[in-house]
Amino acid sequence: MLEIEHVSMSYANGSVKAVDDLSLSLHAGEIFGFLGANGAGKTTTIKMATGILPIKTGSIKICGYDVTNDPLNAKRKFGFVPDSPIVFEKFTGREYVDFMGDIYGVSTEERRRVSSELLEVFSLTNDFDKRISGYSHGMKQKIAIIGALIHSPSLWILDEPMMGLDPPSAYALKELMKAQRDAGKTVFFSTHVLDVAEKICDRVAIINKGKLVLCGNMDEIKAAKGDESLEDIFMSVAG
Amino acid sequence: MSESVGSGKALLKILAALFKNKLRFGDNASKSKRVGTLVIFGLAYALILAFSISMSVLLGITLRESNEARMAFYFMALFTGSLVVLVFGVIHLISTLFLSKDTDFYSTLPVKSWVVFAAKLLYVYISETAIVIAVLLPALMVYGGVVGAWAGYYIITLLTLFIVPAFPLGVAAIISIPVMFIAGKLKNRGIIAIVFYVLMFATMFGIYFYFMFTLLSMQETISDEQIISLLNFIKVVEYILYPYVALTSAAFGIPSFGYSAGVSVAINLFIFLVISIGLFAILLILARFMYSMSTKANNQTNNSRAKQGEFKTGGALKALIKREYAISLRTTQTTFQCFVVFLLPILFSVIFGIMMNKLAPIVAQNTGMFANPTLFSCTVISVMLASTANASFTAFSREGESVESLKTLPLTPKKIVGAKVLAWLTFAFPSAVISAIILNAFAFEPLNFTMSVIGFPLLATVFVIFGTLWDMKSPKLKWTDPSQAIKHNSHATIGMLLCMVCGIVLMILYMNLFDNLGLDKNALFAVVWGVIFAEILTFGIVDVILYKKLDIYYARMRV
Repeated sequence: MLEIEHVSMSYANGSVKAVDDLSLSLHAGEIFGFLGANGAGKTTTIKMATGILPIKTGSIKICGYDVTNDPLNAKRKFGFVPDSPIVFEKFTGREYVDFMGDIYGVSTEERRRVSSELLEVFSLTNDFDKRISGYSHGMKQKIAIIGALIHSPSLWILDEPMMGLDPPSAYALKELMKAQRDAGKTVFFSTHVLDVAEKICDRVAIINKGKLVLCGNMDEIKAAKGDESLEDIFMSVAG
Repeated sequence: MSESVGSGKALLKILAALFKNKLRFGDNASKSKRVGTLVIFGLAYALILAFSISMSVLLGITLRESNEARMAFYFMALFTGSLVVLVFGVIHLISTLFLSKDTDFYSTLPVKSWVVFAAKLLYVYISETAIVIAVLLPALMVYGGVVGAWAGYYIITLLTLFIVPAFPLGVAAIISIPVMFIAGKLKNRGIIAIVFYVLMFATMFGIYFYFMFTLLSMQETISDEQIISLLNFIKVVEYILYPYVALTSAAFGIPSFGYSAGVSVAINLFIFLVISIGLFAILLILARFMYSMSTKANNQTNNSRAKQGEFKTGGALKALIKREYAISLRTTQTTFQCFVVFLLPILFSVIFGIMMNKLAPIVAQNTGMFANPTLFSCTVISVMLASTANASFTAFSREGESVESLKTLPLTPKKIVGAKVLAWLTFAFPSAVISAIILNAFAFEPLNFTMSVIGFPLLATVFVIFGTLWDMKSPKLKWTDPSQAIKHNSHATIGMLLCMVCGIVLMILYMNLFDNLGLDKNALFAVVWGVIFAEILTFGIVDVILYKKLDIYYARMRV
């Protein structure tokens, strides 16, 4: 579903290595947590996977499509929710979803079906036809999620998705992630909230200073580390 | 007492912050850029000073024999200065007190709201006064010397110029209130401000052209009736602007109201001061009201019921174009810079169409210049057409951080650029065609009409494409307010200047060289249009070169 192979990225003329020879493989029907401290390289990796940053070393494939060589097909396969949702303030929520629908070629019926379901989940129905400029951070996050899922992508990429969400919305998002997994789709998300990762992830990867330091099944990792909490494991390898 | 001292200090701090925020260079401005900007400002100011001082000297020499005549220049100088304050004061008052984005920020500070308001009003007042003093003071001082004014003239001028802006700013506040009320009713408050600015400038141009036509239509011999109506009109103006009449009389020490010169000066100064203080009080009350309205508008929540919408399916290109317009409508400034500029070539074609066809024959008779006025106007419009690419020059810079969201979508760079170019050509193309039609309507010549109807839209097209690709090459994506993507974007400014260079050179050559060379009409026509089409070809080639590097520019574009 998502194949990251020996990807590296440097800043400041190579003096700062943001991502260092990173390899990851995500399967269909799993929730994958991407963990790391601030500046560990999580967002840079996600930016390369989503086509924001060019991949200079290594390769990333999404559903078999190379992000560098076949960017359009690769991009059609995922939906992306950035850490600070940049949605268009002058649009209404519906206009934004319409925009995303037009870009991905989603039919009106499909837009109606997907959005009505998600609007209900996020309690956003009454605000859908209001301008995004009047939305709170959490509401913007929710509309960005609806926009990202409007084309029912096989891979869902989220950068720090829990930020700014109220408890009911955070709960709804977690349930949505599980529903995606149960539908055979893949959810790849970065987070600082280790409790969330511990509860919902099937597998996690911990990245530190651009290098992958730990990756595996949640239960296996815990067993190997003497049943410590994820927080303790995180602190021991990346703290 | 201690509280008022605290408030006074806070007022000064906020005032200093407002000025620092306005005048300071950005952190990323290099030393050479700072020096360059200061040099350009210095040169511009030197030019204005040279012009105003030379006018003072020339007119002073001509007018010094008559008391009324020398007072007329002084009065006109005050009037012109006030007109500038009035026009820009309305914009400044609305943008600082009503449309400013920092109202929420100041509301969170432990400072009384009147302190913030007073600092903002002072900021507007000082800014406007500084402009009046910088332009008028040197000119009026020199003028005093040339006309042999008494010592009191210098003291009165020096002291009263600080009070002069109170009159136009008071009037500006009165004008601003209805504008603000209408704006307060709309979701996008900036739009009404833009409409108002456009109407205001249109009114000014209307008045200017009314007077110009009146002057041009006057017969060589003016009838008694015309003289009487002109005198009546001047009297009305004097009554309306009585504070300036009083100040002028005081500055020249003219005896009035049947009193001696000394008493008259005191009475006239008193009249000027009382009226100015009265208007300042009006300004204070209205500005306070504007500020409180702004606070209320900012505190409005989004709880209103929204009208139920419906999904509308369209293609990716249409969606991108719609998004481009939405991004450009983000703030008043971006809206103004992106949309209103398309009116400039049209406006200039009207102005030059009228001016050149009415005035050029007179100038041609006396000097031999402007033998072919429409052709000269074409060179001017070829410069103005650069403004149709204004929105394109910041097409990617205005995206800011959202450029990253755009890059995650399944869109080719060609489609993104294509949408941006199409979005702005939709305005640029008609603007160029309308300009060509208007310009030629004043003096129709089939060949010139054909060339301009083909040439202008083509020029606008290559400019729009160039602007989009030029910005994509090095966009300014780091900003906190979208207007920063436009205001301090030196890359965009350089690109814009490149579009203007050829036309400016052609204009200067036309004025200084072609007319003097005695080229016949056909040769002149061939040279002008030859150069314009060569410009189109050159920009076309540059566009192709830039377009070939599209993928490289797209890949390296990041915040």
